[in-house]
Amino acid sequence: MTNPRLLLGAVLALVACDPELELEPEPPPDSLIAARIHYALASDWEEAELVDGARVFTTDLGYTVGLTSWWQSTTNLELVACPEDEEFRHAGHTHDVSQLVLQVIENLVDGQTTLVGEAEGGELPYCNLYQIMGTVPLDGVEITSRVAGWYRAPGAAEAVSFDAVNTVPVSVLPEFTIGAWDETLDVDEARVELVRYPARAFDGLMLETLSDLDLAFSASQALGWDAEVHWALAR
Amino acid sequence: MKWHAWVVMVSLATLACADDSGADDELGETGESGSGSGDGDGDGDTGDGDTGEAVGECSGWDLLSDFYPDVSFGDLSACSGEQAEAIEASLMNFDGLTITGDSVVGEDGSNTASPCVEVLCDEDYAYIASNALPHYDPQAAPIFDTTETPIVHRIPLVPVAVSSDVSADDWYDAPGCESALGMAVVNMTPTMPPSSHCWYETKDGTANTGEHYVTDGEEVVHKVMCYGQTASLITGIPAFAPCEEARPDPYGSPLFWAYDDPDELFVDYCGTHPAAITHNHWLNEVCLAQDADDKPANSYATGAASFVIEDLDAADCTVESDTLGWAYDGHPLEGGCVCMERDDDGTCTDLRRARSGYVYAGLARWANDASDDANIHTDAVVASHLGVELSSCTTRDDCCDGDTMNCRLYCHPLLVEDAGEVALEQRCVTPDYSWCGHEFVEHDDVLEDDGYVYLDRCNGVETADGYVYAGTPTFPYVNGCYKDDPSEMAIDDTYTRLDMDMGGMGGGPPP
Repeated sequence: MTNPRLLLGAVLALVACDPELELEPEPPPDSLIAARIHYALASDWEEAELVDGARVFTTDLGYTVGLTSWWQSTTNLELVACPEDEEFRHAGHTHDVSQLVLQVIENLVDGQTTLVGEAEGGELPYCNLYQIMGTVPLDGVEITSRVAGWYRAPGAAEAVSFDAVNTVPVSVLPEFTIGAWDETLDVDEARVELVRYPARAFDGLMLETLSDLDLAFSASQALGWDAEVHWALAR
Repeated sequence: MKWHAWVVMVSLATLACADDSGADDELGETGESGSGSGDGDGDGDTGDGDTGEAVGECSGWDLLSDFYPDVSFGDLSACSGEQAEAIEASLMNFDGLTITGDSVVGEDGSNTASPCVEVLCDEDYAYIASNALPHYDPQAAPIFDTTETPIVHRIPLVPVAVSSDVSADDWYDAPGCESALGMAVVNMTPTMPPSSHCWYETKDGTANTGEHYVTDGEEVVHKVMCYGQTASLITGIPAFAPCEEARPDPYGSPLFWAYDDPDELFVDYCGTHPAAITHNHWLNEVCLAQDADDKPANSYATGAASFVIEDLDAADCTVESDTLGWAYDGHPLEGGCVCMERDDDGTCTDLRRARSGYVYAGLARWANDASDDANIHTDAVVASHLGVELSSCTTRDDCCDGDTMNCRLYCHPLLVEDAGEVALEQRCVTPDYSWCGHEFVEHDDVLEDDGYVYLDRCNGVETADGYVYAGTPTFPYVNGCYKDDPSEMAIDDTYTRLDMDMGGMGGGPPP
């Protein structure tokens, strides 16, 4: 009689030695098509330090920046179908069924990931997320962003404090990263997470030359441009 | 003008595929891209390697002979003479300026591009070449591509009066506006503009909106297109007539939607949005202000924050507005503060806010119980969304009974006439069929109100410095017709056709 342990050992040895029998990782989903979309907003401060409640980082131009708060609105999230044949996109947009109209204002300094809502999905594969940072009330004032903190210019001894408010809407169209599978989702569902990198949003800005409005507007715009859309489908 | 659309398409494709180094080799010294002027020697030393035809650095010049077969680049030279130099001096300086953003499609496929505007002249015209890119990172919804689009505007150096012999339509177009009302009541998308206030011709040329000219019985003026360019701005971007296409708001004001739903950014707050060609539907002086080097003086955010209609209508002018563009009949397009009188030293002694002569009188006023179309009988109109048209409001909810998602009305600040007085008020208004919703009010004296001067039907006025059009925050926003005879650009529908051919918001029902 054959010893089962010996048989199992032999099979395992064969699997280990034959590369064709190795278990390859499952490839990620190639396109986002789902009947239900769950939206989330996230912030990744990367290498920024957390010092006394402030996010502190250095920009590409050498400014040291400390942010004690960054209130940022989001008023629209909507998936945009992949263009057919690299078509020219031009005025004539009608909203996709995936549109989620909302009135969210987050303090990015908290670094939280927030589930903000869900919407239907369409039948075409999606390639972009259309985010509008419109005006929402904060302390009774309609704003799109309010960024407070300080910066120290390269070589400067003194830090300059600021409390900058933007009232002008910003809209962006970040692209998708490679998708993933998510066991926690139900069939036909997708999770779409907009990941912002606030510590990059001050790169390229000569802060002492900007008005408060331009500082807050530029930071919000860069935040949107540098964002990534992470997405996952139910297996 | 189908061939024009084809040429633009080919040019766009060429630009999109162009290799940087190769393109540079073929471009010469003449057009000083971004400087607002060329050297204008016209000596042919700037030849295109393929055709031998001279070209400037701004891509607009590529279409010079396509738009104007009677003109070659070698015919043009630096602008001289008072009017020509004024045009040249007014243009914005784009030296070293690049724009970027999610919606920007650069020549190399990247998300960066460089705007350009240049001018050269012959004896009769100034030619403003542009690639129609904004001077700031585009802000209209990035679901629309912003791409380089060549255009050459032709501006007469000496305005020529309209002949009294031309055939002209009547300003009062009851049948056209009744038709507009009927379609608005049942929310029907028109196949072409229903009224004759502006110029439109179908692609096959079998139907149009009447004559090129229109008259109030005293003066004959030239129509603007129902959807299309009316002037070159100092950026080289065309100003567009006060209407959109058949969709989304049929031949309606794009400002109503953009202003009352600012988060949508259908049009940005500098008045610009892309389509087949990026264009301006209204003017924002702060966005178009120039510094001492003629470069943009303000950021987009600064300009956008300044766009408050009530402020732009206030009779508090303290500084004369600059020239912001040039209409195709040769008259300047200025900002909202115009000088009506100067002293011997040239100092302005009567600076006024230019106010449109049009008020919003309502689309529902065209209701006609005697009509065969029951949709325009008073009871049908009152029962429709237009039943609350012109009601006072503070928010859109007041006009839409809380259902703004499916509502055809906006709560918008605009000029209305009440007991003979013109005032800026918030009213429930429809954006559809702008020409029929607005009514021109004759003023016995254009200076009748302190601080204001009322503009004529074309949105212009005779100032201390001659006739000018003014950018206004209410209809028609830019020039609404041409006082004098315009160049052929006034009826060239290249970009309208291009927009339609690309599946834009042209005529016909939604797909």
